[in-house]
Order: sequence, then C-alpha cells, then structure tokens
Amino acid sequence: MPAAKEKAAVSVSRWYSFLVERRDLTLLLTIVIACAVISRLTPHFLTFVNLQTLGLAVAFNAIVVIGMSILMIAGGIDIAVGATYGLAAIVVGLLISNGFPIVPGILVGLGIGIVVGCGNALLINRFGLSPFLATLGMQSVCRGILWLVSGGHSVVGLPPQFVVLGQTKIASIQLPVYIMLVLVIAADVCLRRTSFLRQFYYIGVSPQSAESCGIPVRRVTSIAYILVGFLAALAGILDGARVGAIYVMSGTGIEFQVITAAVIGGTSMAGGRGTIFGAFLGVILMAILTNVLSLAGVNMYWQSVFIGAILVGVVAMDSLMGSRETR
Amino acid sequence: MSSAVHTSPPSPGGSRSPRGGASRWVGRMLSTQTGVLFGIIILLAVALSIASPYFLTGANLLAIGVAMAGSALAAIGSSLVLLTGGIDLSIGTSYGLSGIVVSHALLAGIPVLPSMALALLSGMLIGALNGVIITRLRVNPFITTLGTMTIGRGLINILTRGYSISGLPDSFMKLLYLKIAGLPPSVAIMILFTVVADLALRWWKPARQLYYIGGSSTYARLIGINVNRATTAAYVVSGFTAAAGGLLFTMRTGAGSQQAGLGLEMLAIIAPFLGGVGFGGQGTILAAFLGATLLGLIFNAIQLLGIPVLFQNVITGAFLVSAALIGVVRVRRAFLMQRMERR
Repeated sequence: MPAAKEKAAVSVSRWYSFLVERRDLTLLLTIVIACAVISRLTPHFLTFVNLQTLGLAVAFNAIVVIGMSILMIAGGIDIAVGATYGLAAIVVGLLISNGFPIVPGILVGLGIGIVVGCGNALLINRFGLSPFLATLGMQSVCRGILWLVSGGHSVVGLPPQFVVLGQTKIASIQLPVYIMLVLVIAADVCLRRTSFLRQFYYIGVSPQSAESCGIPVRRVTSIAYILVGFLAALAGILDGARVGAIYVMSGTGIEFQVITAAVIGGTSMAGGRGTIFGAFLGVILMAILTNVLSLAGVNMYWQSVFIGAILVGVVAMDSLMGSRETR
Repeated sequence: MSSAVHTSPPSPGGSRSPRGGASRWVGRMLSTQTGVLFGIIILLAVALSIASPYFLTGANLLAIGVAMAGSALAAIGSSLVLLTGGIDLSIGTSYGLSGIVVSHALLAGIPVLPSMALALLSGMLIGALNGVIITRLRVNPFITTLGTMTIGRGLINILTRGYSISGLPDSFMKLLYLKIAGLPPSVAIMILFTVVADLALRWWKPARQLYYIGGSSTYARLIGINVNRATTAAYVVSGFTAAAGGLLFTMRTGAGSQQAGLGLEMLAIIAPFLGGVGFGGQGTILAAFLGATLLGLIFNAIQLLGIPVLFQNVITGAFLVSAALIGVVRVRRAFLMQRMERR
C-alpha cells in the first residue's frame, strides 16, 4: 500500500510541477476550455463581431505587455505605463489636430514614450530609487502634464489619414491586431533566441551574479525601461487612432491589467521567470473574462473588483508555489 | 527600499555634533531632516505672508489645517507602514470607503456613534486584509495594496452607483458645527493623533518594534519580535487613520462622496518621505506631520497665488520623486559614513 501511495504522490507532484513549469500550455488549455464553456452558455460569445471586439481589446494591452514582461523578467516594474500611454496619445492628438504633419507627430509621441522610459531608467539605475516608487512618481508627473497640455479636454476631430492607422481592415480584422501579432511573435522569438535578450533572465535571477559575469546590468535594464515606454506610447497612439478621438482618461488602469496578465502568464514578480507568449495568453484570458462579465451584464464597477482580486490572488498563488518549489 | 542599511539602534533624532551652546543646537537642528523641513516651512510661511495679505489670517490658517487634516492623519498610518519597509496604496480607498459606510449606516437607521464605529472598522478591515495577505501569503506590499485599492474603489462605486450620498439624518448633520477646544474636529483630531502617535513611537516598546523590522526583518525575528503581527498591526493602524480622515471629511461636508480620497495615498506617502521616514527603518511621526504641513502650505500657496490647479498633479509627482531622491541620498551617505567609522 505505501508504495502505491508514494507512486500516486509522485505522479501528483509530477503533474503539479508540469502545471507550474509549463504555464503557457496550462493557460492555453484553460482558455480553450473557457471558450468552449462560455460559447455553450451564451450565443453572443462566438460571434464574429464579438471576437473582433475581443481582438481589439487584446491588441493594445498585448503591445504593452511585451515590454512589461521583459522588464519584469529583469526584476523591474513600471507603474507609469498607463500614464505614458495616455500622454503620448494626447500629445500626438493635439499636434496633428492642430495641423502638425502626421508622421512627425507620431514620431514625437513615440519620442515621449522613450523620454519617459529614459527618465525612469535614470531615476532607478543612476539614483538608485526603487522601481515602484520612481515609476509611481513618473506616473503622477505624466498624468499631470497630460492634464496641463489638454486642459482636461479630450481631443476630437483627428484627420482621417491618422485614423486610418487604427481602423483599416485587412481581411476584416483591424490593423492594430496585426501589428500586435507581429510584435508579439518577434519579441517572443527574440527573447528565446537572442543572447542579448536572454541577459534579462540572468539579471532577474541575480543582478550581482549577472554583473560579475560581465553583463552591464544597469545599461541593459535601462534599455528595458525605454522599451516599455516606447511600446506604451505606441499602444496609446494606435488606440487613439482606432477610437478616432483621444480621451483624457485614456490608459488609466492599464498598468494593473498588464501586470496582472503578465503574472497570470507565468512572469515572476521576483524576476528571472516568464515568457512573452505566456504573458500574451494572460492578456487574452483577462480580455475573455472582462468580455464575459460585460456579456453577462455585470456592472462595470464589479469588474474592477474582480480584476483587483485576481491580481492579488494570482500573485499570492505564485509566491506560495514559489516558496514550495524552493523547499 | 529596505536596502542593507543597518542603522545601529534606531535613534529618532539623527547624528549629534559635539559643539556647545546655541550653535550646537542650531547645528543639531539642521543636521536632521526634520530640522531642515522645519526651516523650509518657516521660510515658506514668511515668503507667503509677504506675497499675500491673506496668508497670515486666522481663517486661512484654519483652512490650511482643515485641508491638510486628511493627508496628515493618513500620513501617520502610512509612516508606520513605511517604517516596516512596506507601502500602503489603499489609503485613499479606506478614506473614501469610510465616508460611504457611515452614510449608508446612518441612512439604514443606525445611531450616529455605532455608524462612525462601523466606518472606522471598515478601514481597519482593509488594513487587516492587507496585513494578512502581505505577511501570510507573502505578496509584495505594492501589489497587495494596489489590488485592495482597486477592489475598494470598485466597492465604493457599487455602493454609491457613482453618486454622492446626501440627505443624512439631522443627528449627524449637527456635527457639522461641532468644535473641539474651539477648533474644527478634523484639526483637533489631527493634532491629538499626531501627538499620541509620535509619543508612542518614541517611548512605547511595542511600537518601537517597527523600527527594528524596518532595519532588518530577519534580525527583528531573531531577537524575538513577532514580525508578522507587528507588520499587520501597522497596516491596520494605517487603515484606521485613513478611515478616521474620511469620517472627519464626511462630518465636514455632510455627504458621502464617491470621489473622496482619490489620490490621497500619494500625499500620505510623500508627506513621510519629505520628513525622511521609512528608508531602512527611521523617521518620526513629527517629521511626517511636518511633511504634510509643507504640502498643505504649497497647495494653499497654489490657491492664494492663483496658480492653475492643474499644476497640482505635476507638483505632487515631482515632490514624490525628489523626496524619494533625498531619502536615497541620505541613506547612502549614512551607509558610507558607517563604513568609514568602521575603518
């Protein structure tokens, strides 16, 4: 009997470690099952229009999550992504609705993302602030500038040549979805294959050992912060083009959703673990959840309660699992 | 945040210089961040009273006191949390929720005092939840309180359906005109809590444990401090002071506002930072109070001098970053000096 028990225990722990290690496969399975169940429950889920909505809902967060998961793998975090997203969008909107040429306008917007990233990198890597604090401050500064330049008004009346960027459809799917897919695949492959991006894993596990292995830790993590800023700005601008107007509140709360998605996707808060594919699946799962809550007519405010609870729950589960692994 | 800086037995004052007489006193004052902060406040007050004839009027000073009461109260609890090396972002939510809870309880026919107790309890519950998740489930304090902040804000919106709650019973509305020792209740309570908390942190042993935890939670555990319990207690107090601030706000306005407390957590974190609280387990409540006073003066100046209110957000963020920078520089210097002393 004890032998059988032991065998069962071994197989359970094997399953357990499989679930922990292959988070992306587990997630994929979860998503498929969730879709199957939901489409049984409501006929509105698996309609083309709803899937289109879902794709767009995924697109902007997924662009941001690429940068965020690379950064979190390196042990950093950026709370300012939502504010960067909004600030870049509003500046581009103000510029081009006042007759500034479109391409330079977009470049200015992307430049803002890079500048914010540089600012974060400077505060964290040069002055030694904690990433949380530095980016929290940066968030406040960016939101403040956003309110200042916009005067609290949303930007409407964007020229059609700009709106095209977000609304063109290829095979009846909007352009941002394609952009997102290309970026996600490219980033995932690069993170797996290029030695430059693999450095982030070493840094996340232990910055000291990475440093003594000859990795310029500060320079490399600075690049991650700049990348996050750039991608957040890109997503914000595309979102503005898709909507055809830029709201003052654009990007509020994105940081929650993106961090939660990355953690669901297996990225560790402590750094050193995670993939972009996993984080991407995390974004999809979150989008499905929000979508279902909306389809079920659940109050928007309850959604924020759910998202908050999921964020804490997943991180708690992760840290409990982590402590079990090390034991 | 809690880098490997071991400030040997935590002294709330700061370094002492061996000089004599008045110059020694001034030197000691300026060698502490509290002293520098106090100096800045005096200078700013002088400048403001020259710049605006309305600054040094009793009405304006009371208005500053009332306006800063919420953040000063919240800063007390926030300081305790910062001392342990944590952070509490759910302060604004506790502040807002307490106003909603007291309004709902009153409308449900519950008498005034039990309703107020319920409001305070709601804040303590959020704090207890934070504490348990952080200490038992070992979740990063930032993520935990970010989560409870979102959850709480959602609950506030659900409870209010996006509107403010008005039409509170007369028994509560009477309190609008309440005066404690001739002061508005928020100012009186702010002063009382600040004094009590400051004294407790200087002389009461259980409170002083927080310094040791902030210095190094491992060593604190080794010398027999129940780190989990003390840390949880800090979060509970933080929820309590925030809820007290929210309750006083509701007593002043006579309505449960759904917007109350938005962004308050930033002020409640910046104020202690300005006073140098929280970097490796150091700082006093007095310093945090002075930090809140400085912020109150600056916001008052913004109004008196007619600076666009939209600037407030930028100023808040810039303050957070610069206060944190000052703190880091100070910790580094202390660290270097400690190393030099050892040689």
